[in-house]
Amino acid sequence: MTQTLLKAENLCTWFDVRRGIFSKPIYVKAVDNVNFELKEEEAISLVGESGSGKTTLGKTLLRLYRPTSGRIIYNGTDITNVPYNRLRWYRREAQIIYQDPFSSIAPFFTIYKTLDEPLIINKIGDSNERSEMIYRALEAVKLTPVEVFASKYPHMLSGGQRQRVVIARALIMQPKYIVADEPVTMLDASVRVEILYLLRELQQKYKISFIYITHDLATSRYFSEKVAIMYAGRIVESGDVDDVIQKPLHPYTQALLEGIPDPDPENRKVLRKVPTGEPPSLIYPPPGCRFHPRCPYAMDVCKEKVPELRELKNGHAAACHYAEVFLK
Amino acid sequence: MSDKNVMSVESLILHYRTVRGAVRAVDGVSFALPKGKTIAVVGESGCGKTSLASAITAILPVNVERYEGSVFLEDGVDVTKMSEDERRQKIRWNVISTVFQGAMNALNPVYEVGYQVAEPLIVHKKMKKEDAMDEAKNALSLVGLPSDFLKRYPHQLSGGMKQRVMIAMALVLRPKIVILDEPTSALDVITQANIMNLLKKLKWDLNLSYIFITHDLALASELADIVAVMYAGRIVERASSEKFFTRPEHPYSQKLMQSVPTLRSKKELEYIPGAPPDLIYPPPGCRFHPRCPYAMDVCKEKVPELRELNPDHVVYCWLHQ
Amino acid sequence: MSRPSETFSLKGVFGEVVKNPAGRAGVILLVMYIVLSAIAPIVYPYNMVIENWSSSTYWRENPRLAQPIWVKYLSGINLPENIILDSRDKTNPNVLKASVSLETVEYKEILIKFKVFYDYDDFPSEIALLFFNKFNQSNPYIKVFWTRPDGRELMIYSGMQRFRETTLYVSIDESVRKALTEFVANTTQELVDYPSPEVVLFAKAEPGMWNKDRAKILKSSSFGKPQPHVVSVRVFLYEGDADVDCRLIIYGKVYGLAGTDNRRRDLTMALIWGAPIALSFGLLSSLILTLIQTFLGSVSAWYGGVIDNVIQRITEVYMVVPFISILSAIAIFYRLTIWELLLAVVILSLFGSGIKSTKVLVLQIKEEAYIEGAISYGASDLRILLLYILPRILPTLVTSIVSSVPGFVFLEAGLAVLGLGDPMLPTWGKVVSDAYSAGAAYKGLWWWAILPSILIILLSAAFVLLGYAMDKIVNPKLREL
Repeated sequence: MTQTLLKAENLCTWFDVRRGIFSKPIYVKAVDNVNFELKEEEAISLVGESGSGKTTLGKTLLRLYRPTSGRIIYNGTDITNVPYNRLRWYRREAQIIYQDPFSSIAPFFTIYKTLDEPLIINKIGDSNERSEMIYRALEAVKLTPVEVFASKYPHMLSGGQRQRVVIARALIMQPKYIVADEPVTMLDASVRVEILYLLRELQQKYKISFIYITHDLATSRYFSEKVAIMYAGRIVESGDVDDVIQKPLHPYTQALLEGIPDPDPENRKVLRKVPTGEPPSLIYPPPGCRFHPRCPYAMDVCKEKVPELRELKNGHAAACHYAEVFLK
Repeated sequence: MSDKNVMSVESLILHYRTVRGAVRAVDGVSFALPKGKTIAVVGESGCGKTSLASAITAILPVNVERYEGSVFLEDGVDVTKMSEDERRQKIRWNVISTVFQGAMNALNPVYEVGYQVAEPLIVHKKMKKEDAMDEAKNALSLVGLPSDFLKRYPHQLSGGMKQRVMIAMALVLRPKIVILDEPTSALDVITQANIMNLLKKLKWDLNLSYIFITHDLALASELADIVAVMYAGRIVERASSEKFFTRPEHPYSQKLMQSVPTLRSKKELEYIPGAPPDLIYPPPGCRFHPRCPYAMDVCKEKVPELRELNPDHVVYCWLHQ
Repeated sequence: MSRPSETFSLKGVFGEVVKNPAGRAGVILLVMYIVLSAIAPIVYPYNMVIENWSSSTYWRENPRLAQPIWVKYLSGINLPENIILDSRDKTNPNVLKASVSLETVEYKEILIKFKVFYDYDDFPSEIALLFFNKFNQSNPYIKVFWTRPDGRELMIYSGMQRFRETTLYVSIDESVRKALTEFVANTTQELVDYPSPEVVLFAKAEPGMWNKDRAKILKSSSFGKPQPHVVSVRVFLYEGDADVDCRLIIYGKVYGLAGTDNRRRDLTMALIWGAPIALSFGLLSSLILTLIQTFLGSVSAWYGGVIDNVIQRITEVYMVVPFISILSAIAIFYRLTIWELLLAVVILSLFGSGIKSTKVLVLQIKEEAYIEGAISYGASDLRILLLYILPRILPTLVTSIVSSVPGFVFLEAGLAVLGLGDPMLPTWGKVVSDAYSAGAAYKGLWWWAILPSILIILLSAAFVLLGYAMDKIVNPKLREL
């Protein structure tokens, strides 16, 4: 039974977007009352559309943002309100992999320098030790021959290769968990799989926990055992990937599944049964369940009461007043 | 060209001049588009599919090096041989219109949406403003937007709504052929599904013919009657949807299919090692040979010829000769 | 994208600049100016310049308002250069000094003779005789005779020497003019009131010899055997150890590479020295201001909030305040040296528009993923600003420094023209200012005004061309042009 590594309780991250210093604050409630748990050596996919708050949640957990309320507990330590300058130690434990391989590494650093920086800043090893760590990291992400790649500049590498560098940079600190924010979305289809497999391999080999953020529910199956679905700043469903995909208990998850096509020539003859409309504004979200304006099953209670994320089957939880109905 | 084809592209070539050399973006593409049907041109980034859209409508950049081939339309005219004026007046937007990639940024932020939809009518057909706005209202309702959107500004619309406006703009002159270049990139899953539904309905109701350019095989299957796989400026396989998705024959198509994560079936994903080739100095012979698991000597030397496996399934590969 | 790595290294940018024709021109010009600046202190040592630029005695022997020497070759007219003969010069065969009568303890007669072969096409501008007198109480008495090549002789002056050093300004001395009026009357029967000695003495003996427009030069070579002018000075001394030496200066009309001004100052000194002054003023102001503004802009963009607000508001106030007016007001009340001027300029431009443009750049860069990545592995703010953001703006920064130099060069020159510059230093602006005050344009003294102006313009052009080439390289959107 593995330990809990990271736990978020009633976590809120709100951004103040008012214009002018003297008006009342206006909040974008990007993450609103989220409970989340990550165990050691575990990989969870965080699935949602753009604006669902998944990226914000990931970055809040990393303390790149400061939570507005709630708690984040890492390995027993409450890191919710620790000021940035005292979080250095945490930065070594938790790393991030970015989405855009073109802008996530400094264009004027060689690959060597890109990997050297985190080590230098955190005063890890002397120059020989660092050199070794860098080459080992490059090998782990299969950028060989390592000496050749180390001296190149980012623009000389392809998107997939750059993404490997980003992964290497995350790995080199030997973190306990990594947040991967849409790591393959901007890569070509044929490269995507390669990188996904690489991540999976590294996750298992180095026993790192992963939070894999994506909008593509299909890839999450290939990466993690668990999944959490986010909508409008809340987690609406979570559980084992296969469970959630085969028996979705939240109407939004059902809509997502319905909306994702598989390559099938019959697709062109039918319309997909998806709800219309758009995700709600995060500044003035609808009351009660945030999905109710688009939900085909919405009832009065949905407009008034916020549904709690509650466990319905082993490990499979959903935030819907009528989740039981879908169990059958 | 047979009667039921609304467009026939033959050996279309488009090369660009750059500092490093000539980019052979479209290097001999041929296909036929039957009326009311959709052909999906599928390929990764850098395969030249966006250049294909420019080549078909003859919207050529300043640094064009070579533009050859033919794009025949229903009445036998060849778009490539027309004068620019003729194309502007008779073909673009009238017969063929395009919904561009990243179309959401193509709306002018300072004009009302209704006016932008009406603009082609005012400019091309010299309609009066009131009439044009009426037509614009019709176009907007076609795409499911109510008439009060006429007065809205682009920044007041969400991504999905903007995309619908772009589609309305493309349809306002009731063209026969619409080129859709990654029309749903940057949209989320449910909005994408809604737009695809809209495109399907429009196709059925208005008997539109689509050229659907995308990198997403699964998405292609939502509209495609014919699938053409493009690699390094060339078509490597062209087949009806049924034949393609059940049994792709070209090694690249096969690998592409294997790399698509599926929701409904559990399968091991495969990836294609290597990277797409440089379009300035593409590999000799079959351009896929450096990455092909079945590459033979002949593949490195000679460009594969067309091989018809079925009336509606052709492939360009030496494995099938 | 073509070679983006080169846009991030200065060496690369430099290489690209040289390939661009505008950049090449700029570099060549700049190198010329740098060479000029290096030469300046060697040819004219700084101390000497400071001491002598404003003095009047140092330049005594230069012609006044002389054109540059190369005008002779361009115009084909053989304009006269300075001829200086000194009786103390023992080696010159054209100088003779001898005692002509018995030397007794109390009476001596010395004869000094200067032979001048004059073949120029134009008259001298002035003539002067300097006397260096050694005596105790009894003043020497001198008589000066002028024998022309055509044999005509006249005594132009006679008088007592009262001081150690006296100067006979032949061109304007009263008694000389009287002598010459007589001479003209005798020679051509014309009666003129104030004939110019430098014209009459050198003109052919014909009617109109007193009029510099009608008179023709009496050339030494127009005789079978070249005949010189002979200036004889007969010195009568009444003390045994008394002595008199004489220095004849026939002032020409051309001098040096750049001519002279109305105070006889060799303009070449000012023009050469103007280079290092303009360069250092321009570069220093530009460098200091750009660095400070970049720093403030970056800080403003990075920290945002109150700091940003404060900096931006101060900047806006600065941008509204009229800078030249305040500078002029300061300069009117306080005589500023050039370094004080530099300081004033810097202080008054501190919060300039460069802050806003840097802020915009840094704001954009700040949003890029790799910056957040750096935060995520614990980089400090300072490290990010210096190592992650600065290299991105460095090429733009350098371009900006280069492009703003001309503005400062012109500023210094402009202030000098307004009379607000450093009064002691020979800068180009000062030369232009002097020329303007003396009405150089109206009087046709073209070299005085045009030469420094050309130098100012070319220096500015050098930087503008360089800046243009660099901007094209650094700003990729301009590449298509």
